[in-house]
Amino acid sequence: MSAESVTFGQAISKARKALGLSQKELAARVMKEEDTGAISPQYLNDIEHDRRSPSSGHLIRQFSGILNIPEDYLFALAGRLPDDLRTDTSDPDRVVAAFMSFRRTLKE
Amino acid sequence: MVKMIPDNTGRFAKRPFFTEKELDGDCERLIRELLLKRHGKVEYPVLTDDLTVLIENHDAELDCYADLRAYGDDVEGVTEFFPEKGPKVSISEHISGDDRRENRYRTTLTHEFGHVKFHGPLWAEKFATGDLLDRRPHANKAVSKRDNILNAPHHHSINDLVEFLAGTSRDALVR
Repeated sequence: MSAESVTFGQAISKARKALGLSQKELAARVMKEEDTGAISPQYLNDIEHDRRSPSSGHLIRQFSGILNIPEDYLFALAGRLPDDLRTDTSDPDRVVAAFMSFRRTLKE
Repeated sequence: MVKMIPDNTGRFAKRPFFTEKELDGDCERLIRELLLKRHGKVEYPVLTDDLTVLIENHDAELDCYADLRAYGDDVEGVTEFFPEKGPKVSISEHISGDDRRENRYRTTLTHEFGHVKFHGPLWAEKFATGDLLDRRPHANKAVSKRDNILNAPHHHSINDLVEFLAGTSRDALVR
């Protein structure tokens, strides 16, 4: 990891603090997919310290919306493909070409 | 101007000398500013949630649900200081994750805040002057056990001002 790289947890923590929110306040606003309420402060704390990863694209989109961080950026930090791209991965050559393009852009 | 006196613990060349009145005043001001900013009014007792934000507002990373068993079974808080970044405060998940231990959680948060606020500048100076030769495993850490949180001395003539300051600021913040 380079000195300038940022983890998913660090990005969430930094954006939360910039908004003046406590972990408890942010956790209360992030709703679980199963409609069973909000995530727990413990879970958010583990995510912020990179002990756990967000369990679904739904959670990543929640963080994106609440913290105003681009969704694609958070998916990249989480090491996941956005849900809408997963259905487009049937052609290996196109996936490889897409990653080459992605890599080239990042290295520029 | 803070009065500096020799540090008998050997941890620092000199340490600041505060009276309890000075510490009370500092803590009162800090908490008023925080509450006004977050809630638009000053109301006691301070919420536990506000105490976590108070720590984070002082450039500290806060891990509220840490596994501190490596430091010993009775350790409830640890504050680590680093040359290149702000301090890291870790609170044992055994007290933060248990509603029945809310008061212990609060006193530990404020105790560790005392380390961040009042000892951070000492560590910054120590690092800035290249005083990095102390290689003991926990040399850059304030490890807080339950007993030294509750019994932090309340008299300024004690040898280890570290615990004194942390204990006094704790009382001023959570009353």
